[in-house]
Amino acid sequence: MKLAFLIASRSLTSRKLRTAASMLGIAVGIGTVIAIFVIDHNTNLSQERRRSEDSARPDIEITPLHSNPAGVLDISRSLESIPGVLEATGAFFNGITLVRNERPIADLELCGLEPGKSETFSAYRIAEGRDLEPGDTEAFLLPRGLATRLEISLGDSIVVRRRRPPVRGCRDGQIVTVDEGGARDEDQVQSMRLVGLLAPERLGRRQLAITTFQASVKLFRDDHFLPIFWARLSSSTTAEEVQRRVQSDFTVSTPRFALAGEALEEKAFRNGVLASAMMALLLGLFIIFNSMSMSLNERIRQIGLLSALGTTRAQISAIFLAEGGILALSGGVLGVAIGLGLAALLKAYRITTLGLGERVDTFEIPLPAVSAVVGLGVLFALLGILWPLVKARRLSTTEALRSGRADFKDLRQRTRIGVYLVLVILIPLGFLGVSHLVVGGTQRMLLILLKAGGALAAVFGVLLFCPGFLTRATRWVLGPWSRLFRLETRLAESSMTGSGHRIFTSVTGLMLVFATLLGVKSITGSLQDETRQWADRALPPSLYVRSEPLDRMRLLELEELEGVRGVVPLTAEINSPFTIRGVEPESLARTARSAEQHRLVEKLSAGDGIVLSEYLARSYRYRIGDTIELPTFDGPRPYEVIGVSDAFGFFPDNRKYGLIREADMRRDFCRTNDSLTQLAVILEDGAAEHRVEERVRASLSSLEWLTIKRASAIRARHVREIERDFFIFDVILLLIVCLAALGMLNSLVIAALERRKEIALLRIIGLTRAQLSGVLLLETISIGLIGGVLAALLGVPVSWIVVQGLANVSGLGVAFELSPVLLIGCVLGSVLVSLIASLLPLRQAHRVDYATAIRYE
Amino acid sequence: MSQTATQPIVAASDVDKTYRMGEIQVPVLRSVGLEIAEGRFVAIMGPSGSGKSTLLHVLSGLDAPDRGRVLLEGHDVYALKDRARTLLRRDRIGFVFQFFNLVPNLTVTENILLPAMIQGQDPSERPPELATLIERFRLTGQADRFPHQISGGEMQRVSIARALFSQPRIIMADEPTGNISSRAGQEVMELLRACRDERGQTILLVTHNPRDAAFADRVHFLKDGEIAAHTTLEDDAVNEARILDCLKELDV
Ligand SMILES: Nc1ncnc2c1ncn2[C@@H]1O[C@H](COP(=O)(O)OP(=O)(O)OP(=O)(O)O)[C@@H](O)[C@H]1O
Ligand SMILES: [Mg+2]
Repeated sequence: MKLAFLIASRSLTSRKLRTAASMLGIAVGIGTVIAIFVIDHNTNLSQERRRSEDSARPDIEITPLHSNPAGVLDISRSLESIPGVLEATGAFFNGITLVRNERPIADLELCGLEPGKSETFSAYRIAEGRDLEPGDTEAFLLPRGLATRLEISLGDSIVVRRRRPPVRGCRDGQIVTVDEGGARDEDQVQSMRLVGLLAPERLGRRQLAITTFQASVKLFRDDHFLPIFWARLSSSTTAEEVQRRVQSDFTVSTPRFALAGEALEEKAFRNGVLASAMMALLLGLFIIFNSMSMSLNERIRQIGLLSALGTTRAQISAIFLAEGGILALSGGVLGVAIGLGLAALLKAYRITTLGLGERVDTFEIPLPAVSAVVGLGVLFALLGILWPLVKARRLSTTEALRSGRADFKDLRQRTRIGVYLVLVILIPLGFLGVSHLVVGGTQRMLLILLKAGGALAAVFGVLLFCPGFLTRATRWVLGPWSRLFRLETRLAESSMTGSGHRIFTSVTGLMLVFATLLGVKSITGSLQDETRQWADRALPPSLYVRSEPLDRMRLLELEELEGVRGVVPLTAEINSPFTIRGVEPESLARTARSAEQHRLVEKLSAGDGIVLSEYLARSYRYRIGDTIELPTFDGPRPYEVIGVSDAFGFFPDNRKYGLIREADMRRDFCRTNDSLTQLAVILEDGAAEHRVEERVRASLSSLEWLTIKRASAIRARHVREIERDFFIFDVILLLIVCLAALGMLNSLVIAALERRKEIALLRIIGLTRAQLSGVLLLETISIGLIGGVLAALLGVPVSWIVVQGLANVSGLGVAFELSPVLLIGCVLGSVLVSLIASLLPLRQAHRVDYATAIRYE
Repeated sequence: MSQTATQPIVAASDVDKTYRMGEIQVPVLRSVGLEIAEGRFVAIMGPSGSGKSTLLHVLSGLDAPDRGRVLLEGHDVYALKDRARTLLRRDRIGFVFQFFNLVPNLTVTENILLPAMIQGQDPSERPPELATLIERFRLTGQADRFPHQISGGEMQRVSIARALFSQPRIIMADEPTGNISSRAGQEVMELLRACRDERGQTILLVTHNPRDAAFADRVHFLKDGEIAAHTTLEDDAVNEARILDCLKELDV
C-alpha cells in the first residue's frame, strides 16, 4: 500500500498541470450537473411550497356539465378509464351544521372524498385516530384544533344537519343570490362518529369536516348540485387532451396554482434543462474517462516494467487505483463544492429551471441525485484509470515492455463498442429516468428524444466505427494549408493521424458541446421568430390601457383622438375551461384591417360563435367548425368555432384565449361591461405611438390609476423574455463549453507530455519556435474545425427534430430556421475554444528543455 | 595539434557548467577548452557521468554553459537569439543520439528528409541523393515503414542518414553505437569515417568504446569535468591499443 501511494503521488506531483487539468475536468463535470440538479430540485420545491397551501393537489379539476346525481358515484370510475388519467376522486363540498343536544354548535363545510385517495391528492394527513374506509357512511374527520375547540373527542358521535346551498341567479348581467340557503327544520340529519383528527396542513387547515363521498352524497341526495372531480394525470397526457375527450360532459380546468396551459410548457422547459444537464453529465463522464485513460501507451509500458520486476497484478491495480482514487475523490469534493457554489449563485440571481426571475426560497440538497452524480464521476475516473490494466492483461510482459507504440487495434474496437453502448443506450435511459422522476415527459417528448438520440447515435457510429473517417477529415481540413505551410501541415497531420484516440476525444467533446449550443440557440431563435410572427398578427400598433373603471363616454372621447383608429374594450373575461373574452363586434369592426377580418367579425356578431387564438386552437386541437360545450350559467351550451385567428382580442399577456360576442358573455356567463377596466387602443397606420399615448393620458388624466403599455414594448418584452427564460441554458452552455475546453486542455497537456521528446528532437535539428507553434496551432485549428463542422452536422438535424417536437408539444407555431450566422458562429466557436485550450500546452511545448528531454529514453 | 592559420570550426574556451537541484550543486564541466579544426574526426571519451553528453550539448548550442564561450564557425553561439541559434544548428549540424532519434509518426524516408523539410524543401519531390543514401544505408526495404516497425540498428542508420542528408559541416553523435550490436556499430563507424574522408565533414563523437574511438583523428579524455588528456591517432592498426593505454593511465 505504501508503494502504491508513493508511486501514485509521484505520478501526480511530477505532472502538476496534467493533474490539475484532470482534477478540474472531474470537478467541473460533476459540479455543472450538481448545480443544475440542486437548482432544479429547489425550484420545484419552492414552487410546490408556494402553491395554495390549504387545498388538495390534483393535476386537474373536472366539473360535470350536467347534473346527474344518480350516476355521480360512477363518474370517477369512468374518468379513470380515460387513458392518461391515473386516479380520480369525487370531491363534494357542501355546508353542514353540527348539532349537539338539539343545539347547533358550528357551521362547517363538509368535504366528501373517496376513501383511500387522500394521499394521492395530498389532501390531508391523519394526526390521530384512523382514516376513512370504504363503506364508512357514518364516520367523519375533523381538524384537530377544531375538534378541541368544539370539545368533540375521538369516538364521539354528533348529529350533522345539512344546510341547503344558496341559490344564485342572473339579473341584468349581475349574479345575485336568490335564496340564501341555510338550515331547514325538516332537513336531513345524520348521526356521525368522529374517527380521526387531521394534522394542520392542506385541508386540515380549513374549517371543515371530511367524510366519505358516499356519505355526503347520501346526506345531500335530493339537492341537485354537482360534485367536482379531482384527477392525477400521467406524464403521457395533458389537461388539454383530457378536455378534448370529455368535452361534451365535463369542463376540465387546471387548479389556480398551476396557471392554465403553463404546466405543459414548464414541463417541456424543464425537460430541456435536464436534457442539457444530461449532456453536461455525458460530456463530463466522457472527459473524465478519457483524461484518465489517455496516456495509455505510457501506462502499459509502466505495467510491463512493474510486472517484469515482479509486482503482482493486485499491487499494480493498487497503484493505479491509488492514483485514480486521489484524483477522483479530490475532483469529486471540489466538484460538489463548485456545484453547490454555482447553485447558490443561480439561486441568488434567480436563474431557475423554470426560467429567470422565479424565486427560490429553499436550498435543499437532493442527496440521492448528488451522490449519484459524484458516484458516477468517481466510477468513470476509476474505470478510466483501470482501463490500461484491462488492456495490459491481454499482452505479455515483454509485449508491454517493447516500444510504446504498439497498436492495439482489436482492443480499440472493443473500447469503441463499449463507449458506443454507454453513449447510445445508457445515457438516454438515464435521462428518461431523471426526467420521469422529476417532471415526466409526454409520449411525444419521448419520441423527440428517440429521434434526437438516433441522430446522435448515427454521428457517433460513423466516428467510432469508421476510424478512417477522422483521418480523412484531418487530411481534408489540413489540405488547404499545405501550400503555405508544407512542413507544419505534414507534421501536424502525422501527429494527428498517429494519435487517433486523442483526436477522437477532442473532436467528440467539441462536437457535443457545439451541437448542444446550436440546438439551444436555434430553439431560442425559433421561439423568438414565432413570437415576432405572432406579434405581427396580434399586436397592431396599439396601446393597452388598464385603469380604474371607466364609463362609456370616455371611450367615445378616446375614439375621437387624433391617430386612434378604434378602441376595443375588454368587457369581461372568464377562465373556465380556458380564458374567454367578451368583446363588442362593432368595436372590432372599426379596427379590422382586411376583408377576411371583416367577415370574421360579422360571423361573431351573429352570436353563439367563438374565435380561438391560434395558440389555444393548437393546444386543444380545435378546428373551425368544431363545437365546444361551454359551462354557462344555465348549464352547458354549444359554441361553434367560427375562426382561428390572432388578429383580435389580445390583452396583455395571455396568448391563449377564445373570443365571444359581448352579448353572449352577458347572457351565458352573466358578466357585464358596466365597468370597463381594460382597453386596447388601436392606432391609425403611421401614427406615432408616443404621441397617441400622450393624448390618451391627457384624455384620461382625471383617473386615479392608469397604466398604458405600448404594443411595441409588449412585443419587445415577449421576445426578450424568451432570452431571459433561456438564460439558464446560457449558463449551462457556458459551463459545458468550459468543460470541453478543459477536456481539450487535458488531452493537449497529455499529448505535449507524450511528445516532449519528439518536440525536443525537432527543435534540436532546427525547427524554429515559430514553426513549432505553427504545427501545434494547425493541429488545434483542425481539431476545432472538424469538431465544429461535425457539431453542425449533428446539431442541425437534432435542433430540427427538437423544434418540430416543441411545435407539437407546445402548440406554438414554431418553425425551424437555419441561421447561417449561427452555423458559422458554431464552427468558429469550436475553433476558438480549442485555440484557447491550446495556449497553455503551447507554452509548455516551448518550454521543453530539449537538452534534457533528449537525454534519456 | 598546433594552431593552424584556419579558424577552428568549433571552439570552446573556459566553459563551466553546473547543474543545480535546489541546494545541491553538481559541477559537471570545469573550465573546459577545446578547439576542433574543420574536417577532423574528434572523439570524446570518459567514464560514465564525466560530462561527455553535457559537453556535446554545450558545443552544439543546446545547453548554455554558466561561464565561457562557444564559437561555431566563429559565431558566439550563446550570444545569438534563439531563432538565429536554431537556424545555425539547422544549417550546420547533423545530430545522432543514443536514444529517440526519430519522429514516431513519420516514415523512414520522411525522417531522413526532415531537416530538408524544415529548411523548406518539398518532401514530395524526392531528391536523387535520397535514393543513393537509402541504398548506401541499406534501408531500401524500410523506406516507407514507421520507426516502430524497424530494428534498433536500422533506426540508428536512419538517424545517421538524416544527419548526413542535408550535408551539414558538422556531425555530432552521442554514443551512436551504444544501443546496437557490435557488427552494426562497426558499420555505423565506417559510415561516419567515410563522411570525413569523402566529404570533409567534421565529426564530433562521444563514446565509451575504444574500438569506435579508434576511427577518430584525435581523442579527448574527460575526467571529473576536465579534459584530462588527449591523444592524436595515426592511420594505423594500433590506435585501439593506444586509446586503452591512455584510459589505463587515467585510471578509468
Ligand atoms: N539535468 C541534470 N540535473 C542534474 N544533474 C545532471 C543533469 N544532467 C546530468 N547531470 C549530471 O551531470 C553529470 C554529467 O552528465 P553527462 O550526461 O554529461 O555524463 P556522460 O559523461 O554523458 O555520462 P554517460 O557516459 O553515462 O552518458 C552526471 O553526474 C549527471 O548526474
Ligand atoms: Mg552521455
